[in-house]
Amino acid sequence: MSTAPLASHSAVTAIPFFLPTIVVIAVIVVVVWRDRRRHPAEDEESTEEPGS
Amino acid sequence: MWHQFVHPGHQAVVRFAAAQAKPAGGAALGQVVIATGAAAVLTAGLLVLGAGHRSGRIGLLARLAARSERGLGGGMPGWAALPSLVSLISLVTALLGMYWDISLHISRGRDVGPLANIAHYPILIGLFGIFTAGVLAVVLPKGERPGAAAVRITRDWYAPAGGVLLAGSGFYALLGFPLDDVWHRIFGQDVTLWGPTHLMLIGGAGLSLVALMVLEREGRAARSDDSGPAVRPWVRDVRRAAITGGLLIGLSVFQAEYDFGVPQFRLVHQPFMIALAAGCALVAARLWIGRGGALLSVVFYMLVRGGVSLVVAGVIGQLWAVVPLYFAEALCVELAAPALARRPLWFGLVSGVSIGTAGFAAEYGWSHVVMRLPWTSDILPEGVIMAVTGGVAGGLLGALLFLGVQGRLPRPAVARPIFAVALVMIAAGVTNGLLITVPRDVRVSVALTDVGGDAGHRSAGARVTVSPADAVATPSWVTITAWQGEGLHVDRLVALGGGVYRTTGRMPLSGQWKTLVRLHDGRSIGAVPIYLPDDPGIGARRLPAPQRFTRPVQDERRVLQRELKQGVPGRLWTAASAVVLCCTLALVLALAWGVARVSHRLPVAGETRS
Repeated sequence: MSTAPLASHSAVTAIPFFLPTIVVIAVIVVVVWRDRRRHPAEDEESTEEPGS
Repeated sequence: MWHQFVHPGHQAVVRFAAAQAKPAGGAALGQVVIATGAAAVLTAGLLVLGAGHRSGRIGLLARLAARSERGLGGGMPGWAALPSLVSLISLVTALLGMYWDISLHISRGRDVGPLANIAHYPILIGLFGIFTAGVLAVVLPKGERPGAAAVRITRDWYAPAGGVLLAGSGFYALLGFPLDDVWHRIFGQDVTLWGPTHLMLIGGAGLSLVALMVLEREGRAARSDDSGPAVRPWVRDVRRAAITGGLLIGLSVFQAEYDFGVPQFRLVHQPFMIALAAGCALVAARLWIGRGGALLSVVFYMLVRGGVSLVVAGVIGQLWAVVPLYFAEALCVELAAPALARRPLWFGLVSGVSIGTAGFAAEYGWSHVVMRLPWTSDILPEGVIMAVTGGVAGGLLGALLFLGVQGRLPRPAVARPIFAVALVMIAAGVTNGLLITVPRDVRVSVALTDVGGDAGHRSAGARVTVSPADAVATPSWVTITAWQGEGLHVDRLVALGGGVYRTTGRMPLSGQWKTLVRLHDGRSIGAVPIYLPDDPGIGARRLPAPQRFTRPVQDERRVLQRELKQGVPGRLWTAASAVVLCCTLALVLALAWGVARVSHRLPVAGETRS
């Protein structure tokens, strides 16, 4: 069978399309996690906005 | 390995530009290597530029951001201007890829591999561009808090809510790729746009425009505080027309099967979707931009979406995708505005009704001018009810969207029920459209006429008899449609009375063409295959077209989507759809959260004009 259209793609072919988003998000999550560990006192999301 | 296609019709000229001998597995592996390489470069680029910018070691992003504050980004800081620009370019790229891709699938069928189809590249680049734009908006603000609606990342790093939502929309769209593979693995390939995972791919891109509106608001608010260089009003209007026109395009991509003339769902969906898109985008446009805003937004739609059609059909030589006549709906909105623009929710409601009635009438006429499958009296009055439902739901959402980015959203006890009602109306309209029956005990006899061509290019006209004769009373369509043989052939049959129809031209009956009679009347949709090729990839046998034959009308999906696996348990389909639905609800609710957040946390914008 030379170029018969595939009835289904291998799932592995989709990984590169998606992986960059996971990597970028993972890096940001690590940054957030390290920041929270370094400054545990200011952990909660600040909701007391000036001027809101 | 890509085929040059010449035009709808059975005399399509096929040329194979490259070697055909590559094994399918090898081709797929090569594509994975290319995709992995490109993905690695993109990821590394994003991370290096982002980290370099935040540490102050690389100034490229800061320079680009500063430069984008001029022109279309005027009146916004770079962290809003640059991502807006990147998004708009990415969205146009993805749109071009999408229409090109759909056209290729209609004329060629399934792909040989994930990157064998050249149109997948612009889609991927575009969707990744949307995600990148969101990440840029998150990364760019340094040493300043980008407004009170910003989301805290670290102690000294805040990201605009619009940026987070933009990245989220891109993420959701890209999530469609792996889910699409899983979906195809379980259910077989669904050769329709309306596969749930396909809807994620296009829906994420389409809804990213809402994130852009939120980002625009945050950018404008930041500049009104420290009063940077004043923005010219026309620059702001053009930018907003681009965003709302983009939203109109984004909400209209769901119509693509109808644009090409091969809808696989009921015709009443088309007026519903047109009214929904017009209601939401044009009501928001008129309120946000001011007088003429809805018209300006449609001008942008026509330039970009019409331009994509011109490029796909005229330059690339693929199929033509028509556009709705959105100017009529824009006029409905503009006419309602002088009396009602000061009461946005009432304005949305009235505009929706007007779009669903007067707009419907205009589209009915327009469909007879341009569409391959013009509307018929079969969709009356249900089509009008659907259009009013879509128009009102869209109009209410458009009004809420505007109120949100103006900081004037009603209190949650009012806004939330209205939002919920609009979503329920959309769900009801879509569900009603999906209630399809298959004609029972109806048979179609076909007698070929005027048979011509050699064995490899056989074509013929036909006399088609439906029995019982009253099985199709006032049809939405009775066509002979042929596709996937390097082209598209849609022939609306001429009724001769007594259930007898004739063709107006010769249909293709050889090669890879899939040729069938399609019947749609009321809720029933059915098909009778005339000619189907061998398809070893899915174990399907050739169905030849003898001189005369009689075959029963069957479920159209069995013919149009031969690739669908039979015998998959229904609950698996329900579960898989539920996963996709949850992802979609998460995105919609996140966008609503963002709109509410800018409304509650940023000061009221005082720049409306009516």
